[in-house]
Amino acid sequence: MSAFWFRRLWQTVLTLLTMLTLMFFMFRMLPGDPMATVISPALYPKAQETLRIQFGLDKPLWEQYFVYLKNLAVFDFGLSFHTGRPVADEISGRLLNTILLVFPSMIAAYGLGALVGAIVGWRRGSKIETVLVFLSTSLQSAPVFWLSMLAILFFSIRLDLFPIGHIVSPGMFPEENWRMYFSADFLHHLALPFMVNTLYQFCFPFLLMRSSILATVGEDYIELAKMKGLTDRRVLYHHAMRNSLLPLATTLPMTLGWAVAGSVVIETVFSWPGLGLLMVEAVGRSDYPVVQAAFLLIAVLTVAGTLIADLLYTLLDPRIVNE
Amino acid sequence: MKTATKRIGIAAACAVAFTMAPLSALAEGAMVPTVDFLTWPSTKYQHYYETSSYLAETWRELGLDVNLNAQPFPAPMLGMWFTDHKFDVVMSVLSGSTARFEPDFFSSNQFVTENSLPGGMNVGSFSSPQVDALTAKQREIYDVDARREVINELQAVLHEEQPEGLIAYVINTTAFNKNNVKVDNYESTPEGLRSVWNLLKMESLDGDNRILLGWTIDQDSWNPLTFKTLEDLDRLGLVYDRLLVVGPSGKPEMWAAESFEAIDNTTFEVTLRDGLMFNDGKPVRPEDVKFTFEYLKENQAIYFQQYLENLQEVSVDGRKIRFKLTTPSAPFVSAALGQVPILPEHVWSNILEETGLEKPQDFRNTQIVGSGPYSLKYWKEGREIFLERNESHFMKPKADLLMVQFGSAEILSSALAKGDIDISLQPLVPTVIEEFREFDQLELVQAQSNGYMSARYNINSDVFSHKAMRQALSHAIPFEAIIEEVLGGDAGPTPSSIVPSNAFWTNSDLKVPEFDLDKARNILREAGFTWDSEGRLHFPE
Repeated sequence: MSAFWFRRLWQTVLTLLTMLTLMFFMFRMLPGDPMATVISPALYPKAQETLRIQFGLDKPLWEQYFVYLKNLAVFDFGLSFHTGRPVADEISGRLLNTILLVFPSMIAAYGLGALVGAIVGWRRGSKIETVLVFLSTSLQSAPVFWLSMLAILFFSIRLDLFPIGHIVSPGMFPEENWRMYFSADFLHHLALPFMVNTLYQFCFPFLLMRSSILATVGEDYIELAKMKGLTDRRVLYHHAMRNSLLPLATTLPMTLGWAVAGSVVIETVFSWPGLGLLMVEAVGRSDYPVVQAAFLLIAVLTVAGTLIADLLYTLLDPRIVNE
Repeated sequence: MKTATKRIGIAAACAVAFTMAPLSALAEGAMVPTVDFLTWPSTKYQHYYETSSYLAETWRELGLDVNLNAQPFPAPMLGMWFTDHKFDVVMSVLSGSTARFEPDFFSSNQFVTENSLPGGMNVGSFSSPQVDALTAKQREIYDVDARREVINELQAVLHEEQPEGLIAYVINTTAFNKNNVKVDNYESTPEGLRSVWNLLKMESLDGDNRILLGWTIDQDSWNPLTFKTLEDLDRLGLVYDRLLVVGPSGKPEMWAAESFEAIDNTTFEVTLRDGLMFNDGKPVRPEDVKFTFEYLKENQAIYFQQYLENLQEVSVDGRKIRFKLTTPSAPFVSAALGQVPILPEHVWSNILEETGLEKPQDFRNTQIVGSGPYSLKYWKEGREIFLERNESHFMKPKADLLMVQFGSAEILSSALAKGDIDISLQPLVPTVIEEFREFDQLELVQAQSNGYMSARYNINSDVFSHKAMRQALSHAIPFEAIIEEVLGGDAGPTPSSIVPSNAFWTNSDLKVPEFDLDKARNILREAGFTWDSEGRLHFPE
């Protein structure tokens, strides 16, 4: 047991370090000077020099790299090139908004996907199966910005059911800040991006659950359960579905980082002031410290998600550790 | 002598060969290499990209091979454009602003030799002794009429040299909802609705005295030492007063200053208006002005550093403030006096002690003590900015402003059409403008910008070091087609980089070179360029 976890932990650290290094050099290999992006049309050369020194960009690359690692070790993510503020402040201000948008819709997508996938898999060959498979794959294949815009066009503009983006109505909450998260206005603004994201994410858990159920249909224990005289519903929910949940339970944590990264597009279309919108702006401006910290966060979420998945797996299926 | 005769002979032979059998003309010199045309990404900046592709297509007809090199904006495109100068031609789009009415900005500043270092505005490394001399001369003349003559001469020289192919100056269209907002006597400044001159007049018609303005650009910094963009400066100009403000006509207007007087070619005197108050109840004193200029200079304020380096001394005498410069600089007046926000000394002189910060650049300054027409009530990053009107201000703003941040321009337009916001500060794209003409509740307004579009040539490239090539290409710019088809009519032709909307400074004697490919071919032929059997252009031998 301990050897397994030791190995896993060690691999995790190594993954993150590789990721950090790659990211650091990759962004710097992109053509273009971050200083050239901070003013329209060009920053006065002496002012550029001042900034270059202030941000340590006058030092050789390897030195910048070690400074970066050293600072990272004490959770210092540096200053944003663009605003000059600590990156940690910039990101933490936005992270909660993203989490509130992304996690609930992920959970909803997985919950819904599991349930519908199970039912459809159980009643294999029905018309509804054909329709749902077609619908969910089309939704997943459509560009999400397009889906979002269609949703705004139809639900916000045509039907006037939801606001056009933003996290709350402008001017609603002049006093900061947490109270707005408990308001009906916030939920009203959350509803549409939440639905779009849920539908968009629905496909994967749905198909996974469906095929997972299909694999159990012919199993002996299902046959046995049926022979015991259990109702169809009881066999599905208590026997088939329970055993089919394993792949789903392990993929959910793994997709956490992916889900946050996926918020980029939705947040831009819905003017949602989260991490995704910040990343779009930061990438455009070559604001390396912000971009690196945001990508690091996604990497940490993904790697942590994988660890959690492993942990879940060992709990759900202890054979894995012994092998 | 011998080679000269030979050259003439060959040129004549070429000309004859060309007229007799244009497809098999003798090609003597090396083939003109493919031109690397740095341009904007077609997805996000469609009309800039289209403009460059119209040019490329036309130039190909002349036998020039053009490769459109679209790069993501801002990075890496801006770096390739301003720092690395990695282009033969760049699709230059320079945004206008009232501050840029100052004629030096779009003329001397862009074409003087000393600015061709990486990061300087002379991105094409253009160099001409005549331009350098006229630049030095106009910078010493404070009398605007006398200075205008030199600026006119400078524009004529640039017109002859063609350091860039001028395409058009931009007319931005924005819109507001006239059921909710009234804007009396709208001023067509380069900033359009977001100009302070228009914001001050806006009246709310729905009773709450609050106007919702949509934009996609958030404030990056409220600290006068660290902000870098014109958009940031505009909003700082709403919460702070400036001594002068460049008016809609291009002429500096008195603002916090009552009067301005040039003493000699390096000294000015400004008298501060009486009765100005900071929003914490303390009066604005001449000492605050002196403090501000010294403080910004001493702390190397990023935006102002370039102007303030030339400032030698500021002294106060009663309500009069005297500025002494090191070298004469006519542009200093609108560039520095017209842009620097007046800071309260009682706040900034001890922010480090009060906040415990290491350096004043770290001060976020989100509870702004200023004397401007508005007070910053709150700023929610990435969401909204609320500016409350300062009713006792001498400019008497009429309504509070709530600026709402949008993630995309398309959604912003929809929000305006739906009535969620009252005003779009974002310039509208041609397709949306067409659509908006159908909406009764929307009023479209135009902002004639002093910014402009051009094909900026890199003089270090073999192709564009030829003056004849540049002159020929001035007749190979299909500006009418571009203005109508690409820019939806929202642009105008210009013969000078100081465009017609800058009425006072533009040289109205200059004519826009007509679009005429035969004329272009003739210029090239006369300069010794030839065409090979495939129609590709060759250098003179």
